[in-house]
Amino acid sequence: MRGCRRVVVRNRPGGWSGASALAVLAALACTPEQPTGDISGVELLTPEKGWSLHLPPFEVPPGTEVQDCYFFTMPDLNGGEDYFINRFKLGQRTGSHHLNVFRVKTIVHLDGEDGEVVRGGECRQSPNWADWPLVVNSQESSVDSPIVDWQLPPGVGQRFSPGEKIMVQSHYVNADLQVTPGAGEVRINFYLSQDAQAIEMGTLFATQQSIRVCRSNPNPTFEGTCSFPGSAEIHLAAMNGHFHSRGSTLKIYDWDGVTDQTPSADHQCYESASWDEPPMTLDLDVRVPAGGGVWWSCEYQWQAPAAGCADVDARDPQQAGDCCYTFGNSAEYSEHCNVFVYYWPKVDSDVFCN
Amino acid sequence: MTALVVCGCEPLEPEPDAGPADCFVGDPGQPPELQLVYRTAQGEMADLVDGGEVPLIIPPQGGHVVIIGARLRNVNVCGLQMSALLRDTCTNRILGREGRPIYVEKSADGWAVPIAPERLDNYVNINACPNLVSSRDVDQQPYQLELRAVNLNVDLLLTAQLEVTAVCGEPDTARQCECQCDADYVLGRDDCFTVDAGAELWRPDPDVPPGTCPDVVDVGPDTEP
Repeated sequence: MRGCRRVVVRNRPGGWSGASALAVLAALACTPEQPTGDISGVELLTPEKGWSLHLPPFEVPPGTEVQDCYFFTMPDLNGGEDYFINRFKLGQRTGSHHLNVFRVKTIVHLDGEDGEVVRGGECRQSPNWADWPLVVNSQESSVDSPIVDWQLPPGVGQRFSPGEKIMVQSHYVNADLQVTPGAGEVRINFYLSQDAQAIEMGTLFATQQSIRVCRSNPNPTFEGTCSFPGSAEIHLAAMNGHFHSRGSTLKIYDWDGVTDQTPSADHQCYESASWDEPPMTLDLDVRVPAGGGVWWSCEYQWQAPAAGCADVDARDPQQAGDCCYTFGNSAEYSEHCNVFVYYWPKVDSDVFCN
Repeated sequence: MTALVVCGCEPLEPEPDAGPADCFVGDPGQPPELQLVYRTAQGEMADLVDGGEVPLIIPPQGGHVVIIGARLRNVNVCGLQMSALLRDTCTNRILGREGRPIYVEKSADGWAVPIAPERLDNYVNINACPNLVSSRDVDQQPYQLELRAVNLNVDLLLTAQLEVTAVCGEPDTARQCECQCDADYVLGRDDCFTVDAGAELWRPDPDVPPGTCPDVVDVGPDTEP
């Protein structure tokens, strides 16, 4: 392919991709011919400052979606002891659909050693990471704003152990609805907190998978709730939502956990009308009473697929022949209704709602 | 005997604008009726009665859900939005709630029933287990089920409320279900799936007698100090 070069990146202590020493990642990278986001602002960190992770340039051929899962182990940044990360910087060259970082828990059919990557396949099957807590995510990769720089609230951090395994899932799209003008590439910085005992941040991940957006019923709305356990007040610090191109509005509210009614407008914390570059709301300090949680709604507007309904119908488990978009990984042919919430103090359990 | 459960209907009179003729199921001269139903583990629709059992089923998204719907009569069924929840009456907390459009069609008996009743799409999928906010086990304990059916096109609201007991409904995964529905279950704990030297690690622990509340309500894992 014209303009392509082979890039081989080795993980090395203190360098890009952090402290894991042996893994080798190889990819083809194409010289971009159109504007693509500049992520050089995600600088290389020394171990004293934190850890830098790099997914080197990879090709996203026209008409394809690339979803790969990269496995890493967290480096030792604190003499063998746990440490806190209190700032994240995530950079993605243009064309990213999502970037999720998870802590690896129950292994089903997806796993890898430090530095290994699983391309497609099991990396597209969400039951494989059903109980893997979210660390951080970003859906921003526009030419003008390809970097999310998030300083956590004062005194708050995410706790990690040396050697703890994480998975970085990158999804790029280069098709009708979303375009990757150059190569895909991701850089992530984890900044080491100087607080010996920070307040621990937790994450909540919720997904509604039994959804349908059909030609005959083109404006459906799906609602869900998810509550925090425990008897303490919770602070919501950041959040974002995720759907595909039929999504028209995604709203998230703080919720008292007992009322069966959409919370009032003054409890709305988040709204997205942008499926390909949804905002991430940072710097919140919304207090949720004990037993409360979040309430969300995903509204859709059915659209005719550019290439006809055959590929959409083929993915419909009901085989209704009604051009129904159902839950699935493909941004072109499927839909999502996902909610990501960052909160503190962390409860003694991961919080998922399916 | 089938119990008809209609706890609230607004308006009780037939709507003047009932919409297209094929949208109205039943007799416009009769009050709206709603009968709660659920989907069995075998994929069939069944009537739900006050005090009855409802199966916990593993959906594609994981966990264990109860699948609740409704049969309707004397209503406009075009544009129905339905929501349902399970409430712990010991704490008033909602365990799980979902809202979605529901598509029904007229059946031979004159009632509107979910299209493709063997599937999950035309029922409300209430996420029940694992659950971090229940004061008791989710299975084998009574909880309050509340359902709302709304048709904004014709200003219609139907509500229903009854007591149900969720039971692990799929024999092949019953132990996993009981374990994950335990009040003490913590996400990520893997002993629900683990067998050690032929013996299952998880054992059912005693819960309060069904229909009673714990003396001290302790809801799920607490926050860290």
